[in-house]
Amino acid sequence: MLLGVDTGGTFTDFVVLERGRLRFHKELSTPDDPFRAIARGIEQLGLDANRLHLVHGSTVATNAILERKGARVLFVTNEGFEDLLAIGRQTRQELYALRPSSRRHLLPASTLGIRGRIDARGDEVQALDASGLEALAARAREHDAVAVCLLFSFLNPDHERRIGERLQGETFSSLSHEILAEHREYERASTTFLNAYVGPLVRHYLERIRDRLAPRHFFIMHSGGGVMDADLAARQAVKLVLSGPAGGIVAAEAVCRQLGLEKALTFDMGGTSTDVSLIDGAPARMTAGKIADMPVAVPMMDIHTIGAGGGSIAWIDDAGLPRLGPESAGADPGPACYGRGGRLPTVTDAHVALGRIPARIRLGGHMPLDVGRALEALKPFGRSLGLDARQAAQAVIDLANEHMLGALRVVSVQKGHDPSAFALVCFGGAGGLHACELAELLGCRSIVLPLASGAFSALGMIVGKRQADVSLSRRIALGCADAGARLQEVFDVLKARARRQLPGLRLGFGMQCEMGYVGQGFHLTVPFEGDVGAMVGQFQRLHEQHYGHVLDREVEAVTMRLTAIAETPTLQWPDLHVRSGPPCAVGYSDVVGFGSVPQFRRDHLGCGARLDGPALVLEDTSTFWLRPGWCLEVVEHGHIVISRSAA
Amino acid sequence: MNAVELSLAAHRLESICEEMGAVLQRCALSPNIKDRQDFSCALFDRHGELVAQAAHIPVHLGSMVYAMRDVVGMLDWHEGDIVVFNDPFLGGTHLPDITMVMPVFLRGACLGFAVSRAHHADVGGTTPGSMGIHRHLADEGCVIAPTHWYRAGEECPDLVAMFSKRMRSPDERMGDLQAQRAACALGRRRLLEWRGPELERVFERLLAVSEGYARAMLRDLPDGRYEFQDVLDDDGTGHGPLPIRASVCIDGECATVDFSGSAPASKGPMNCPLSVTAAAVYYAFRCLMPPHTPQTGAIFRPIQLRVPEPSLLCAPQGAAVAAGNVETSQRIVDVVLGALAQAIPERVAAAAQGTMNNVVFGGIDDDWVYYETLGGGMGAHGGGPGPDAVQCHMTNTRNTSIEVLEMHYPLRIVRYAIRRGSGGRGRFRGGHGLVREWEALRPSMVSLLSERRHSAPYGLLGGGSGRKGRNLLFDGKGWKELPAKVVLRLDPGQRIRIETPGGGGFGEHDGPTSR
Repeated sequence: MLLGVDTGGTFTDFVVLERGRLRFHKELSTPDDPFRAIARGIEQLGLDANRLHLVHGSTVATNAILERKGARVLFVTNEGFEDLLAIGRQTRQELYALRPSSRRHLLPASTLGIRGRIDARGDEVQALDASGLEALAARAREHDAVAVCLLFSFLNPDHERRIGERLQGETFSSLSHEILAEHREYERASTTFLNAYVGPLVRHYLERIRDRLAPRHFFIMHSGGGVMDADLAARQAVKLVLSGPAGGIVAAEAVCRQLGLEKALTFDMGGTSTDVSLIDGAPARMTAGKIADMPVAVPMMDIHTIGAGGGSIAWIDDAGLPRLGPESAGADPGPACYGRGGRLPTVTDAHVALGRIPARIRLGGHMPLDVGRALEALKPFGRSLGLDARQAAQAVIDLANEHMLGALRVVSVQKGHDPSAFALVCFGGAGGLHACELAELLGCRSIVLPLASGAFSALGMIVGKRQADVSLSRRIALGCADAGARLQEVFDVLKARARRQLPGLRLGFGMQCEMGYVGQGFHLTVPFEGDVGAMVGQFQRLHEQHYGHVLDREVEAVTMRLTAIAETPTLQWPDLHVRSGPPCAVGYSDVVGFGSVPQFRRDHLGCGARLDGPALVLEDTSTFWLRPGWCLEVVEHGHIVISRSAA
Repeated sequence: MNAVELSLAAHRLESICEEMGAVLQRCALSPNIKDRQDFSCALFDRHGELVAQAAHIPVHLGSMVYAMRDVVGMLDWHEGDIVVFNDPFLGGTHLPDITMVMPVFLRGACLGFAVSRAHHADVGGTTPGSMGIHRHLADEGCVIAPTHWYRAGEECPDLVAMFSKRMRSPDERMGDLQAQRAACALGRRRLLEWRGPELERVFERLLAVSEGYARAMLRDLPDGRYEFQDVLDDDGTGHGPLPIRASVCIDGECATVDFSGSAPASKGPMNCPLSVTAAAVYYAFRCLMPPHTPQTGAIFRPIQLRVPEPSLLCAPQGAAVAAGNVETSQRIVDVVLGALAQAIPERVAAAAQGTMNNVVFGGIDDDWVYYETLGGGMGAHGGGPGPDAVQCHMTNTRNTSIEVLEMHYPLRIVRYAIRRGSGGRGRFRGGHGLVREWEALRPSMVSLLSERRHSAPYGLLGGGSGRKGRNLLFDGKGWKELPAKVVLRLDPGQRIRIETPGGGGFGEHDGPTSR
């Protein structure tokens, strides 16, 4: 029995797959002790915990960082570099602020420098101060965790290893060459420190779930979109820090595979922010993640997030230009149409004013919407622009679309992809109201509204595969005769490391090199298939494609990455119960500019049902605005595919 | 076109500049551009007025406004042209900043220009890194007046020939130039793909509207005349201190900044071309405008400059200017903000470190150049302490990773730390400076261009000064203090240590200073 549990800020979502049947469930989250909601959900679902194959997505690590509730960490580095984390990249956040916001960086409780030095070739130039190890162990006992990051430890981990051996049994410790064996000391130090910062907390949390539920198998979703054994997750807790949006993208990838779609843009528009990403065969990934302004250099989904969503507030700036966000009405008071005291116009108010969210439906099944208040809020905004309230509403939607379009272009056009070849996969509460317009602006030919988009992340938990991501930095000049052998050697090391993380499984390997011209800091990622000449050719082609030129200069590999994925049978999705009969409107809305538009309930639409725009498709927590020129069809498994109507 | 369409168009122009910057950074070769991000990308209208710029380096914002003013009318532009220049007296700032211009033609008519500017690690000159101490512009490096690299799509061989003849590591220079070209080409393509209101009208309206941000900001300042004076330590050739005086007059929606009484042109490289002086003044006022202000040339129209000519702040033709951009500009900011502090002490901050601490290493027996600048303390302000060890005011370049540096150059970093105790005392303390120490592994030349080694960053409303910076040499026997500006040889095992200044404190100190 497979159970996916995704703990979010408001809801904890459950998806159960049992004897070919999918079941969904929601509980209110219990932020003070997230376990309570999980236990209650399992009880409500009537599941036998001991028989569960449990996959969990948790925000415990993320919240510990955002709320600064992590461990007291001792940060150990080379003598003379104790301020490595405090200095960071030496830049300021705001370019033009004389009074910068005084929020302090997240920093370790204490730091300790130890004598000893490895040079850029990996040779020891100063021996490790063995006498310092005793003092270090004594200091370590005063802390909850220790993070160790020494210069060039990715080339020669000897000093870090000896420190690690001395710390064994003393306290939770993270060694940088084990967490991230890559060059760039600040990014590696930050990642290692965050691992120590959240490690003890995550370990305690996962042990508690294991002790109380005793599931048969227990896995955790990580930032890279795979799942990992809970014991390993406790040691490499930093890999959970950016896992929040991963579940949704993994689920989107699975849906695309079912529908035979190779290329998709995911679009998850919520109340205060919007996440977008690109799938081209597989989801795009990156290693330049950040949390609380600190780098987290582990592989994660390449997600672009902008601070605009359904609750974003529209306003007029000093020069009379209209703006949207980043201020948001949040859940309280919420948009003006909620009638809870909000007076400022939001994107949601604009949709309500235009009739695209029918006032009679109750948002989230609870809340009546007030068109009058939405119009009232839009009036002063419109007045400054010389527009009436309904024109002002259209202006707010145009602004929102411009922001969304910008975000979708960042992950597609700016990375050299033509968005018209992609389907737009839309989940999250507010996206359905913008999807058709965005697809038109981008030239996309189809839109997918997956089944269960309300519990999409939890769905991702049960389709995620066991996956390990490992990497190692080595400069290898690809012009050298032994380049192929040296690359193979690095990948052999990485394979062995991945096997230790996924013991006893049949593994498939994806191998990639980050390559660049000698001296060039940015790198392009090229798959490694054994032939160095072909790789260099591929690199030159990519460089030409991305930047319009190639250079007559030696090419080097800098960092090797290996992703190991356990070969498991793909999930058999149950088919939706097929309803018969043509779709039947449940009501009509006046949509400004489109006259009377029929409303349909998604749960009334059976497999094979077809609709032409204009129409509104209602779900419990969201509305889809099907514009004229688009045609909707419910396909097998219950997903909705929307395509351009035949002209 | 209504305000909504204009707002959407402005947003899109800004994203184009950001996308240009991302391309330039990704395909540049030198650490200075790809890692430190010392570059800017912008779009201009066909009259040479700045209409959009990505926020990268503040010193580039104000000076970019001047980049095209003289250049646009000088040449007969054609589709397929690429023009390159670095002449500080013709659109440039100092020689290492190379500007590239690509005109954008639509249906045979010039619509505007895509422009990129990047700080190159070397442009010839007597000292590696082209940031040495010289008395004449010609000794600082190659002076490139606006020159065609491509003319109507055809490559002109002269420019490339000059690069390969006169510059150190010319293939790295060409790689960086290619990156600038890729950025401009992208900007051009995006303008040609433009859908929406006609660009010519977008540019006009955007310029007209954006002046409003400056007027609203100035209206908010109390009318009056505010004066302030501070000094530069010296000009690198033994002359100093050099006074800089500003009289800032606020009158309704207009401001005038008068530099009468400032030093005459310097013998050494401290001179500023007018574009750099303007950039520093604009920066100070830009800090008082809201964060979303569009980066156009028009936001500075209501600010008038009066600069004696010739002088330190309006350099005569042929004067050395290497440090004007990176050092003098910081002091101009200190002086303008010092004057504004009398009007609005709660909205400005005490002096920041007031220098960029320029450090250039170069090989003696082999051909390599490495450039970096160091952060220091920011000034405290009415709301809290100044941040420690960050780049201040006119720059915001990142540090180079120690591991990347040591993998590429024969240098070892021995120490990199916050310089505790260097921030000025006060109700809120100034930010601390930092300490960085290098050891040479092979014979090298090092040039240091730094400031605030003799005069300290001022505190505000009774706050104490930040501690002055120090440059030190370990010659194998002991530590010796070095001048603020110096060029010297390092043998293997010798070390340079730089301690950067702290920021000034804010408010009178009573009881223990906040941490």
